Amino acid sequence: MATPYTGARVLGTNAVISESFAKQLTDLPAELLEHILCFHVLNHVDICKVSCTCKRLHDVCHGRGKVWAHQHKLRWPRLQRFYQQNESYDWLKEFKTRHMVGQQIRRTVESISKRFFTEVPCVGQVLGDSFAEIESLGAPEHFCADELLEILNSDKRKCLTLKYYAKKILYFLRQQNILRNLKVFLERPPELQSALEGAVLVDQYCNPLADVSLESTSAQIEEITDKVKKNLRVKNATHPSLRASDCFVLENLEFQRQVICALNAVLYDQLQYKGNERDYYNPLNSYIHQVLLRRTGIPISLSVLYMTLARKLGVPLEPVNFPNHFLLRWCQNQRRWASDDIYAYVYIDAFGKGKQLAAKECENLIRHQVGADYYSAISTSELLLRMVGNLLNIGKRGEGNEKSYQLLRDSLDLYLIINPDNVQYLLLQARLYFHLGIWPEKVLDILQHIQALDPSQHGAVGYLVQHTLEHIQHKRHPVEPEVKKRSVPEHRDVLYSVGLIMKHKRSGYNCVIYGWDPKCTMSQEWINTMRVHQLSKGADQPFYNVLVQDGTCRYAAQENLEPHSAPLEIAHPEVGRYFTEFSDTHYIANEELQARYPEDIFTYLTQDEDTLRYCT
Amino acid sequence: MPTIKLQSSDGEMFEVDVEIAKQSVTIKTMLEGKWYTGVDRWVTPPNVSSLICPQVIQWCTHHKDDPPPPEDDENKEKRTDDIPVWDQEFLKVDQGTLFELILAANYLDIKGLLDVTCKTVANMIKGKTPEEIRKTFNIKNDFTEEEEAQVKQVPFTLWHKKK
Repeated sequence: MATPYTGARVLGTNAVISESFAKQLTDLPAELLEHILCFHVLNHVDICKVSCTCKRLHDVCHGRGKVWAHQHKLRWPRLQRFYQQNESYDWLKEFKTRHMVGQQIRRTVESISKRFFTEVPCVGQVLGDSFAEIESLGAPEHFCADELLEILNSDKRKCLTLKYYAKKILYFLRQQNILRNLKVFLERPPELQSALEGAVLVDQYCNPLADVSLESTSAQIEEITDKVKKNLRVKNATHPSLRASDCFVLENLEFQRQVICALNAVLYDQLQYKGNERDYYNPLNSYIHQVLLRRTGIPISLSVLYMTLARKLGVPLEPVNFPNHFLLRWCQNQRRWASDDIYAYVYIDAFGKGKQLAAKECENLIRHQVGADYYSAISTSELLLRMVGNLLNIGKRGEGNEKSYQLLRDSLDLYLIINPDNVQYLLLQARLYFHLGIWPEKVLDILQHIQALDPSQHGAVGYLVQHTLEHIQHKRHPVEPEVKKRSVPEHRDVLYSVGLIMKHKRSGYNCVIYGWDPKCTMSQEWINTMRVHQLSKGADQPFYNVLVQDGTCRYAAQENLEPHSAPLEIAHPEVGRYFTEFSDTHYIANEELQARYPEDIFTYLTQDEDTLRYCT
Repeated sequence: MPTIKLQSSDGEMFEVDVEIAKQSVTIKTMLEGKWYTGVDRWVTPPNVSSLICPQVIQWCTHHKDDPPPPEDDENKEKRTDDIPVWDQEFLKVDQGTLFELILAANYLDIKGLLDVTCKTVANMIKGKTPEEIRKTFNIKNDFTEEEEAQVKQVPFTLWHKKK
């Protein structure tokens, strides 16, 4: 307790015994009440309750907006950058809207799991309906993205299923946004389509969850041009590029030569950029932010970089769609107008350290001859088409895993935005979706489009239409999930539960079980190929569906698996589809998986198979 | 050690170390003011009664060696939640005194005292229903039935739904 004043009091001459200024909370001035209400021990629930107590407190809470502004900032700090500093907002409304969007998003994410447990998850397919509800709230897009990010950033080992679908939704939403930007970009007049911006859009679309932006990429480009200017200054302190701002062209060829020389010195000698010969087919070589990060790439991506840098320093280079090896061309005529003479240019190999080649020398690079057409300059759209085509081919060559299919899907989307009526690629897209078993309604749309463009395709189209319609029909009668109970006699040999972390005795890999069959259910062909009959119990033993550490899904025989002595988390992207949480020793099945394996509790086994101990 | 006299609003004089008094930014500014040259040093902090003045002095004396609180408001959230035990004991007073301490801390611009007193009040609000809050602070419900229904309406049903 504060000690009361003891000791002699001296009353001054103007002594006035005044009354206390504040007997009650409500007597405090508004600023102080706001100050109290802005302490972070109080959340929005408390503020609501306070505002219900009396008129004065209600006014303080709602009056100047400071209290709700604070709550908003406290709860969603990431959203602050969407609000202007000196504008006033209805902060309670902002809070409510964001709150409701958050709840709606969570409901959507939670409901998706049920829907996609047996089908292949395709966000585009489901979001049509759910998002109408969210859109009706009139909330800005970044509210949705913010809630999804909140889900993704929550406790690492919990809510795995929510996170799994939240990630897919965020991926899809961001892609939609980027696609819109790309469409706007492509509608601009060609002079306003910078290759860099196009390359950034491609990069963003294929990596929507990464932090790629035109601003950060341009900033990195700026750093390199500064280095080039420094180099240039040493050789020629009065070079015009040192003074000029962007968007200028050097008239004098000698000045241009000096820039190119400095650029080569900085890019290839100082910064050690080089063409990626060892790992040519890595998709990272096509993404401009990776090119800047790893200082390597393929001819087209390095050319985009080189061209952008040169242009900023006053040297206009043009992209050349040379077969197998993308090049840049540099006009050697003092006069600026475009020349059709292929010998009027020097060709630059950005992949090969900026080596300069005369027209026919380029053919040595690719070891066959080409006609003059192949030496002409192309537009940004055509450049992007080639870039996307590269990614498509990489996707096609891929191992047929989720990553390569995703790349194929993404690059097809991009291709068809730039070139929407290409029948060959439309057909490829339809076939791909059909093969993956996703979004049959969209497949039908694509097939209709193809019919309209090219009726001669009716053979391939007809086949796909028929089977897609069957697929849609089949979906209308959802099958009851197959429930597998351990207690029935046929299953008595099944030792292990879903969620257990196992080790493969022969291959040594770590995995988690997400399903089992009492006997091997694969075809005879599979059994023969995998040499199942060579196992001591052959195909006549329980087999387990497992998610493996390396990202694959496998089907393993019981005798080849043993419980892992030191259970660990399995870093497989599909874990969230089946499990909600990792609890130190095993994964906990989500609702959908539990419904199918209701009696699978975490079983602890001794080495001796005859005596089994069960613990929950 | 140099001291300074503080005169409360009702005319009483209290003598305090200058260093301790300077925790109040208001007093500090007064002391550093150009016009201040008096040998007989005394200031009249506005609106601080003789009942509260010694308590403020007591708090400042106990906290005289504290590091100055950080400037920006942002870090308010990141400072530790707990109110120090001494302060908790110090603030076991009736509400009237508590609010007067808040006002005094505000007038005298003593950030540490203002924070700790306001946080105490915030803690008294936390987790309570409106009726409980009214009871704690002796607040009269001046809403009509209609008004009350309107105020309670939309927010509550939504806020209470757990994710």
